[in-house]
Order: sequence, then structure tokens, then C-alpha cells
Amino acid sequence: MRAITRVVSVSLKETRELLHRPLLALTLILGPLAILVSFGVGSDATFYPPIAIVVVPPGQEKPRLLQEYQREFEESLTVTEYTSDLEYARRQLRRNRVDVVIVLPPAPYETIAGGEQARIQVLYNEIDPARRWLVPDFVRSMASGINREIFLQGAREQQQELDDSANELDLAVRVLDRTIAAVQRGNREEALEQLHLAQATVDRLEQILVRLGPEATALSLPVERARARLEMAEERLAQAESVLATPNPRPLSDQLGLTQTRSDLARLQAALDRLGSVPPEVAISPLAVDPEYTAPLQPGIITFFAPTALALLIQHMAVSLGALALVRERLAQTFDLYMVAPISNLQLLLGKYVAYLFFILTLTVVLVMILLGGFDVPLFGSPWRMVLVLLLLTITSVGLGFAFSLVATSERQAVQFSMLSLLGMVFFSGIALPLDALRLPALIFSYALPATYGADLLQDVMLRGLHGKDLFLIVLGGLAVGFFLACLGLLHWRTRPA
Amino acid sequence: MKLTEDFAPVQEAERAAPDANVGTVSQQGNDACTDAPCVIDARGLRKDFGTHAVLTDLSLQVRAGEIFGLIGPSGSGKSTTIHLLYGHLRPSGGTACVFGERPVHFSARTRARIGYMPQGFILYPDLTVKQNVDAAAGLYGLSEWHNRRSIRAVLELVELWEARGKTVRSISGGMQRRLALAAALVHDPDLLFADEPTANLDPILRMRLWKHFRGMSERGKTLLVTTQYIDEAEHCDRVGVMYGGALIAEGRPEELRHRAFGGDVVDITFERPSESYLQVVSSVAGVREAQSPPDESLRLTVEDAERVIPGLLAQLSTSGAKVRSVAQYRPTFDEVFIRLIEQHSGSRPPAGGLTTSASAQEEAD
Repeated sequence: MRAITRVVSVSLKETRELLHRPLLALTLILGPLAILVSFGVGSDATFYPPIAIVVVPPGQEKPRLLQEYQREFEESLTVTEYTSDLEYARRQLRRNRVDVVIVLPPAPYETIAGGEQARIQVLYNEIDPARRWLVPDFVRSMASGINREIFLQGAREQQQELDDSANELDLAVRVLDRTIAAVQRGNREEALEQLHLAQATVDRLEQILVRLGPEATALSLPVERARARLEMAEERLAQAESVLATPNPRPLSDQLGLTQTRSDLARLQAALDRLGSVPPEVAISPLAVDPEYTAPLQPGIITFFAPTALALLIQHMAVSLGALALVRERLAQTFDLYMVAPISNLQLLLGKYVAYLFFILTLTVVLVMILLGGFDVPLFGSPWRMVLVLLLLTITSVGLGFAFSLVATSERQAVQFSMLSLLGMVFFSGIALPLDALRLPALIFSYALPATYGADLLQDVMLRGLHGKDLFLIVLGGLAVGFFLACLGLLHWRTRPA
Repeated sequence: MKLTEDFAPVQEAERAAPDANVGTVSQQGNDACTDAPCVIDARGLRKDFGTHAVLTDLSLQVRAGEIFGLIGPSGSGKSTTIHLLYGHLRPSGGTACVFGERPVHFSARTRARIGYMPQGFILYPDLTVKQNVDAAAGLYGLSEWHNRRSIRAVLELVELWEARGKTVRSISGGMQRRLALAAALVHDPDLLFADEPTANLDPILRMRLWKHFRGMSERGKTLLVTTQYIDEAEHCDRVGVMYGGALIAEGRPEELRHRAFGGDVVDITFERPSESYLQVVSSVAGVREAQSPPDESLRLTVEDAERVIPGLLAQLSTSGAKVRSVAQYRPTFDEVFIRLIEQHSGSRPPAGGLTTSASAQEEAD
């Protein structure tokens, strides 16, 4: 009973001291809260297109590339100026007045027609490593847009050629049918006439396939074979009139290879039909991506960072208040009273923990109400899980603060420790950079900070409606116990007789 | 004083030594303290900080119900002695026993019997006067709700009840000292270590405080009080004079006075002074020293004034001297301590080391 009285008495004393300094708590909460709210309200996390100068070839006021694809340029870049003065553009880049200089090639279409890539020169000097990818990304996007337009146009032209090929093939098949019929009737004159017509059609077909380019090579082979067979059939028909009268169990059209040729051309016709049925948009982009967002909500900046900010504020308050709690008494020699009085270190520490937990949890309730009510931050998960996370985070953070307080040799040093922990939180707890972007040495700091676990768990519970990682809860609980025992050890060390 | 009746007793269970004021407990680590006859028994106590010896070979015994005053200039080792006796410091040599236990191994039960008033103010400036006493009471397991009367009584004793709602930051230095005393007394300790309790207090309050200490002593409480106000030695049952980290003299105030001057001091004034009287008195049995100050009197140091003065008067009368007055002179403790320190070190103590109540009051004014 007497032990409980001592613990309660220390708690009461601490609470009264805290209540006598309301400005301290207000500063601790309102300062970081105001900064975080300003950050949330004032940033939209959008990457705007780089500011660009486009350098056109000398003597070309508006080159054809620009005439045809200006929309693609201005969708991907914020073009402030078109100039033919490359040096001027470079100067502007050096002075950081623009993000990028785009130098157009002098004769892109001719280069492409010559079988080479036309190259657009891109000059940029971004030094921010987090934004260095921005210019190449935007310019590649622009080039992809232009390339796609060029492909689309080509595909449409090819579609037309394919239509023409199909027509010619259709004609060739019909003429061959008439040739075979004439052969079967024994009408040599008509057969030869139709054969010539078929040869002319195959010639035209060959020319169209040449225009379709290398992609049509596969189609050219059966056409070439058909032409060779037709020539052979013509020779045989011309050489001997007896051919028609010679008794032969095989049909004459088979003997002349006309039936096989018709069959080849019919298969080719079917292949061309299939090719021609593919729309140009599908032909140039056969695979399309169809993303679907499945999270319970699409959070804005404030909502997304709210759990992290809450974790950060709790750790900051707890560490700052805790860091000053013991060092002040130690330096004012109030510890002498504890050494004379029959209060144990455990009772003293428990009393302090109870007071600071009560105080910080009260402030946490206020903060949570502000976030849920004032900023419409959702809570999809279990409220009890959230309470558990907040409780563990507060206990661990208070322990960390007390540990600082017991290690520090002056109030100034305690404040420095608490500032260091704040800096650590900003850099390593996932606010400035996601944890995935950190390497091992930094991750050690990350996972030594209670706020890292708190932020992750609170995000899961509040925004994703999950229970949060059990391992993180266990580690947070372990840290809470670890800090408590460390504080007890440090307290024994600090109150031992000198 | 009302305080005595109003104090709620500290739980008897926490003071359950067979004799509440004498250390007879033998516990692990307290072997040398077994059957220690005194509340405080220090023998050959030494404390070094690095190579600097702050306390050298201090031995003192304080009995139950005694007010023991440690008097000496600043830096003489008074506070260090107290820190060693309540367990804040570990002795570099020698032994200390308090209530039969080594201070560094005090049990909670023993701690509950001890009160400590530090030299500086170490309470909580942001809290009110009453909240500070509540907090101090709480450390001893006394709930502020169940001990309202004793908390009020101790605040009234130090005349702070009216100021109970003021924050400590806003009260004067003297009031802060009184508050520190209240915090040390709130659990009615059996042994009080008071490190300069009367510093910065006005004479009336100082007198009240000593009266209260006397009352505590009469109730069997033991007090170890340090002070720089050497005239406060009068209030102590026994006094230890500290100088240069050592206890150079120890005894009842009168004994110290006697020891400092080698006996009683007697002043004789004459109708017609003559140098021949010096020889006359020097020949009287029991006279140890005779001086002739530059006036019409003689100052003698004698073994026992009551026994020697009749013989002196007879001898002077025989020699024709007309004595105007004979009086035993009681040297001030300023003189006593300066004498003791001179005898110990062969030189005068540094100026400003010792303070009289009057000079302190002048400084305060």
C-alpha cells in the first residue's frame, strides 16, 4: 500500500509539474503539428513537366517534325521558347532558367528514310538526385508519343497496301479459276490469255509487297513461287498443242501446276485477310495495360501522412518531455531526496512512467480527434488495435526519453538528444524517404526508432483496415520493455553512492 | 508546539527496531555496525575525491535525543560528512553506522526514520508550497489526503501555511529554506540531517526553529545540524568543530569554551591600576595566565573561576589593591572557534569562513 502511495505521489507531482507548464506541451504539439499541416496543405506531390527550350535547325523556322508533332512536345514539356540559337539555349540552361534544352535533328524524315534513327539531343543539368530522372522520363515520354504517331500513320498506310494486295490476290484467284476452266475445256487460246492476265496480276501483287517493306518478306515467297509456276505453265502450253490431247489420268490443270498455284494464292489471300483485319492501333501496340485501384480509399497527402505524423508527434512529445524529466531533477540534486527517502528506483520510475503516459495519451486523444474529425482521416481498422499501437508507441517513446534524460549531463544535452531523435525520425522513419529506399546502416536507425513501427502499424490500421504486422507489434513491445529495463539500470547507476 | 501533537505518526511498522533510537540491528553488509550504541557512530571516516582528501579521519558519536552541531567554515567538510552519513557518498576509508546500518546499505525501514534538509533548495519551483510538501510526504509513503493535519502542522511551524498556494518560484529565498525544512520534517523523522537549516532565516524564525529542534530532541529525536552561525553552537548539546576536513574539537559548548582558553576567563578592574598587580595575581594558585590589556583591568585565565576568585580577592586585598569589579568573562563562540582553529593549525582561519548571526544578518540586510 505504502509502495503504491509512493508511486502515486511521484505521478501526481510529475503531472502537476507538467500542468504548471502548459506552454511547453502546447509548443511541443502545436509546433510540429503546424509544420506538418502546412506541409500537407501546401504540397500536392505532382511532378510538373520540365521547362524547356526547343532548338530548331538553323534556317527552319518551324520544321516539319514540329509542325506535325507540336502537340506531343507541349504535352510532355513546358516549352517556353523555340530558337535556333543553341548557345543561347545552353546559357539559359547553365543559369538554371530552364530544365532542359531539346535540340531537333536537321532532317529527321530523310534520316529515317535512309534506314537510320533520327536523334533528338536532350541537354539537362538537374543536380537533385531525387529529380534527376524527371527530364529523361518526360522526354522519353514525348519521344514515345511521337514515335507512336509515326507508327500509327505508317500502319494506316500499310493497311491500305494490304487492302490493295487482297484485291489483287482476289483477282488472281478468279483469273486462275478461268484459266483452269479453259484448260479443262481444251481451249488453249483462252487458257493462254487468262494465264497472261494471271501473270500480270501476280506482278502487281509483287510490287505491292515490295512497298510493304521487309515485314512483307514472308508474303513475297509464295507470290514468287506462284509467278514461277505460271511461267512454267505458259511455256508448256505454248510448246506443244498435243498437251491438251494427250491422254493422262491426272487432270491437265494439275499437270500444269495451276491447281497448286491457285491453292497457294488462296492461302495467301486468307493470311492477308487476317492481317488486314487487325486495326492499326492494335498493330502498333498489341499489349495494353489496364490498371485498377483496389485500396479502400485513394488518400491525399494529408490523409496518407496523417498516421506517420501522429506517430512522429507522439514520439517527439514523449521523448522531449521524458528527456527533461529526470535530468532536471538530477542536476538540481533532487535525486538526493530520493536517495534519503525510502522510495525505490522501481517505484520512482513507475511513478514517472504513469504520469507521462497519462499526460501524453491525453494529448494523443486530442490529436486523434483532430485528425479524424478535423481532417477526415479515416479509421478502417479496429479502434482497439489502434489504441494498442498508440499505447505501446507512447510507452516506448517515454522510455527512450527517460534514457536520454539519464544519460545526459545537462539539460542542453538532453534537448540535443531529443532534437537528434526528431531528426532521425524525419530522415529514417519513412517520411522523407520510404524505408525501401534505405540501405542497411540507415535501416538500423530506422528500426531503432519507435516511430518507424508506429507509423507503419498506424497506416495499416487506419488507412488499409489491416491489423498491422504482428512482428512490428512484438518488436515495439520488446523495445518498451527494453527501454524500461535500461532506464532502471541507468537510474541505479545514477543513484549509486559516489 | 502544536506540531508535536498533530503529527500523524510515520507507520510504526517502518520503525520497528527494538529500541527506536539506538542501532542494534545487524544485517548483511553491516557487520561492523553490530550493537552500535549510538544513533550515529563514525570512526576514522575519510573521503577522497580523486587525489583531494575532503575529509580526513573523522570520528564522532551521536547519541539518541542529542542535538549535535557541526560547525566550521565553508569547505571544512560538514556537508560531506552529512552526505556520507545518509548514504549519498561512499567513504574512502573508515566506517559509518547510522541506526546500526551502513548508510550505503540502508533499508527502506531505516530510510523512513531519516529526514534530510539539504543546503541548497532542491525541491520543485513550478509547484506550490503545499504541493512540494505533499510530494515530500509521498516519498515516505504518506498520502497527502490522509495526512492533511500533519502537512498543515509542519507548514504552520515554518510559517508557510498562508503561502501554501504560492508557487515556489515566486517566494523568497528565506521562505524556500523554510519549505525545505518543512519537507524534511513532514514525516516526523527520528534522525534529522539538517545542512545549514537556519541560513537566510530571520532571527525570530531561527529562534523558533531551534526551539522546535529542542522539542524534537526532548521527544527523543536525534539531530545532526551543520551551521556557519557559530553562536548557534549554544543551542546544541554537543558541538564538533570542523576545519580542513577534520574534526578538531568536540564536546559540550562550555567544554569547548574552557578548552579553547585553557580554563575560565576572569576580568578584574581596579580603582588605581598598577603593573605590580600582575605579579600578585600570577602567584595565586589556580591562575594559569594573566594579561594586562591597555586599560585599567587584568584578564586572567584560571582553572575554575568559582574556586579561584575568593583567593584572588584575598591576595589582592592583602597587597593593597582596590578592586572595582571582578567578573567571569564568557568568550563569544567566535573567539572560542578562532582559538580552537589557531591551536589546531597554528594560524588564524581565513577571513569570512565563519559567520556570526549578527554578521549574517548584516549581510542579509
